[in-house]
Amino acid sequence: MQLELWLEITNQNNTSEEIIFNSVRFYLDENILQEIHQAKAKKNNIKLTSSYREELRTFAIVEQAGLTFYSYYQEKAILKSIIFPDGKIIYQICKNCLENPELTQKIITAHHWLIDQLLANVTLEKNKIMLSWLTWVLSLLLIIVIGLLNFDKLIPITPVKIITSLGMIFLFYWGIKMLLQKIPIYWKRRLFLGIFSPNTKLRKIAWYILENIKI
Amino acid sequence: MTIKLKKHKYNVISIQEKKLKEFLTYLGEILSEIPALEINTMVVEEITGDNFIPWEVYRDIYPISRKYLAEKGIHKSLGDRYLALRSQLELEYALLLTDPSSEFYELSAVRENYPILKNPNINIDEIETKLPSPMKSGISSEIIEVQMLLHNSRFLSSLRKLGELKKALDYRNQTLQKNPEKNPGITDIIFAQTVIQLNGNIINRYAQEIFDHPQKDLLLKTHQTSVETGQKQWLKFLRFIVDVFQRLIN
Repeated sequence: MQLELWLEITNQNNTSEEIIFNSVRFYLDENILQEIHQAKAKKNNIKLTSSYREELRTFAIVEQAGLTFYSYYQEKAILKSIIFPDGKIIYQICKNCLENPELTQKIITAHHWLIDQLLANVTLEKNKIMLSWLTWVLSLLLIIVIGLLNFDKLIPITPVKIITSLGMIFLFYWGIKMLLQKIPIYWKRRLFLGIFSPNTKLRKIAWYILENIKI
Repeated sequence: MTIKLKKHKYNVISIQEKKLKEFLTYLGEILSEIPALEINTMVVEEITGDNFIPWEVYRDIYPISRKYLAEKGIHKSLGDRYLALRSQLELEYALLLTDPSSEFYELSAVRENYPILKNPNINIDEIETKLPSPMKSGISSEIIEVQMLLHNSRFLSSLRKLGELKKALDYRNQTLQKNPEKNPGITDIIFAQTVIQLNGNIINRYAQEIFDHPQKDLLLKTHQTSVETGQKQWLKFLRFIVDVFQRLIN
């Protein structure tokens, strides 16, 4: 499904004087409805690209006064849902579309399915393995650098030296893991606040860390 | 120039930290109060697709009074509904002022000073408003107060709901102005509401007009679908926010 063609996350910038809340819009037509109903029947899930996921997560956090979703059909807004964090939900349906119940039913089903899919995409997956890998690689790199700097002392290689190196890798692993877990509280907050900033590179790093590394 | 830029960046971050803190408090309130889910379904004349601009909504609801409605030529049958929106706004603010955990809490705030708390249906014209006025020109302390209020997550959430209801009332008013004889039926009102309390109680409310509507089955089915999917969607949304903040705070 070529989501990029019919899914829009509005991006009106807020100035210091005026706050504007954005929304997610689905621009549907007969073909897209068909595709959606097929995907739903086959239980295929939408997998968003990382840039879309990033936009959506920012949207979900920034829109503290409720998430708004619109469904358009032939350039006319047919459905609107606002989901408030405190558990209130408002659904609006356009009066004219009631004249065509069959089509309306299709749009309603697609609308809800798309919201479900998008919300499933914003969830953060817990991944501890990533942190483990990163720590191992860093410790190994550190040992290699130390080894290269003291190359003359390494030869001849004896079992004692091998055991010492292995011990050092474990020590480094433990140390680096501690550092990664404990130190970056301040740094994490800075990165997170970068989500709100227009600096997309910083925003990308923040989401990458939150998504992939459980720290 | 560099110094100026840095200073600006610092300000942005501190505002966002503040906003984040406010949101966390709000989130804490939501979770501790054990919310009931409330799903409202409406048929509307038109969905405009405008984004929510809190300042505009506040500015449009704040001046509502009997006199104002008469001046604007609002249809008489809708007067009470408009006034109810204004009362609700006043009530939300009174709740903020008397809540010790809120940043708007005033030490001098005694419940006696807020008749709206004792009687939410009180005639809004009879009480003196506590809300800061958005009508002043230039930068006055009241305008700053409005700005601060519009950064409060709890207030914003309520304001948005009121804004949606007002928009629907405005359409209903237009219809009635054009053709006073015409009955707008269920258009631009909440025709079905379901409240799901966490103790398992489910309350359904329906507008009388729905039962005579030619599309009754479709509308009731639409509401039913909204209830079923709404619960799941809200849970997913909340779980995501809690997850993000948990990772930041741990």
